[in-house]
Amino acid sequence: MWFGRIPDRANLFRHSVHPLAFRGKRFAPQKLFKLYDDKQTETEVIASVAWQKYLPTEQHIHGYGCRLAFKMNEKKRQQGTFKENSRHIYCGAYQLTAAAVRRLANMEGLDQIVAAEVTHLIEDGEIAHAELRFVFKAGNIDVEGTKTAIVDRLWNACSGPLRHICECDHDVASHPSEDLTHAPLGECTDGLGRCSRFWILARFHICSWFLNRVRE
Amino acid sequence: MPAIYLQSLVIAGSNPAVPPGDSPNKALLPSDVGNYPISRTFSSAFDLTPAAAPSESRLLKMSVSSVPIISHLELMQEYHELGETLSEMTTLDEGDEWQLEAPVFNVACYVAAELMTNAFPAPQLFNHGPKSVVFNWSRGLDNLYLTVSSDRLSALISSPERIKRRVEYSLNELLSAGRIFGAIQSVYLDQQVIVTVSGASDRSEILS
Repeated sequence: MWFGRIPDRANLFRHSVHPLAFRGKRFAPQKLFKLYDDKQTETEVIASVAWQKYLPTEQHIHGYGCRLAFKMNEKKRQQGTFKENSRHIYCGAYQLTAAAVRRLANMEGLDQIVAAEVTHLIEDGEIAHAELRFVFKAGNIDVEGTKTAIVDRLWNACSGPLRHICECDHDVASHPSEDLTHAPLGECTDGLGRCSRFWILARFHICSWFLNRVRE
Repeated sequence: MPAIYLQSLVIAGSNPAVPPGDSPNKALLPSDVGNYPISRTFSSAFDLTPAAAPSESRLLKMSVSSVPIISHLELMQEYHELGETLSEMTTLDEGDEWQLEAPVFNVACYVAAELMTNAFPAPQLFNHGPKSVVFNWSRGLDNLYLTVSSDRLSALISSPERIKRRVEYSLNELLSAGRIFGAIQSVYLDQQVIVTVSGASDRSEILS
């Protein structure tokens, strides 16, 4: 497991999967980010995103999302609870920056958060996986209400979406990617020049090659 | 629509002084002619004292303004669906991300019944896990969230730019919920709300 601090200027992506981020047919922004209690600390909550550094093109960004939905469906298959008509479908990704996540720690109305961190944490074979971690004040604080405030602020820090239909979902008549709503900050921008983009792409392929060698 | 009156959300009762656990099966029943006896004026502050029914001319004046109108039956149907969803969440297996703990369900039903009694529009629903459930309303670009857990209720009003307000109540304070919802309502709607039920035609309206 590799980990490291992600710089403030870094772009992150949160992938939207139907039906998880939906309420019936409608996209539900408040369900885009799912927070989990850290069972080891009990005063911290975590969430998952992907780091653009290791998803250098839109194709890579969506590849991550398609794999995410595929793995969810596989897990259901193994549990014997998979249903074709209610399978998980990747719809697209929303973008935010690491700086926007860290700003939550000093935000008015979020006094209960003492730290907000974004860490590169390879998980489930995904080198782009990153973890958001929010550390709460000790004592009797309103943890659940603070979680609500966190998901609200994270959504309002997003731009996008980048919509997508995975190969395996072309048979879906009314694809839920059409139901994704525009994020508060408008369209996605990576702010990269041609050289930066080339360097990121090269670095990504080197890292992927190295990771595959380690696996072998 | 008699089936609506017997659903799980309606059972929490309409009396704010009754704690969630005390009267779980008390039905909110309509009158003999099938109407709900709601006729209140919510003024700008925290006053939720029942007022005399608005005069016909006043209702007409409000009715012709361009405000959303929700029928009372539609509201009941939406709360019925909310109750069913909450009920289903308690039956899910442990580990299911939609699963809800029974104490949270009891408080959520109580809160929902209070909202319905006060003719508050039915919320959208999501959760963070078994320990809480969140009621959510959108109004323009603003959002109101009520996060309900087994021992507290917290309200959050946010705009795209910032958190406008956060208020937290313990369960004990929740038992005097009329004051709480008056506060939430006046902050969120920021204008007069009239709820009427016509005894003759079984038609009701929320004008905001």
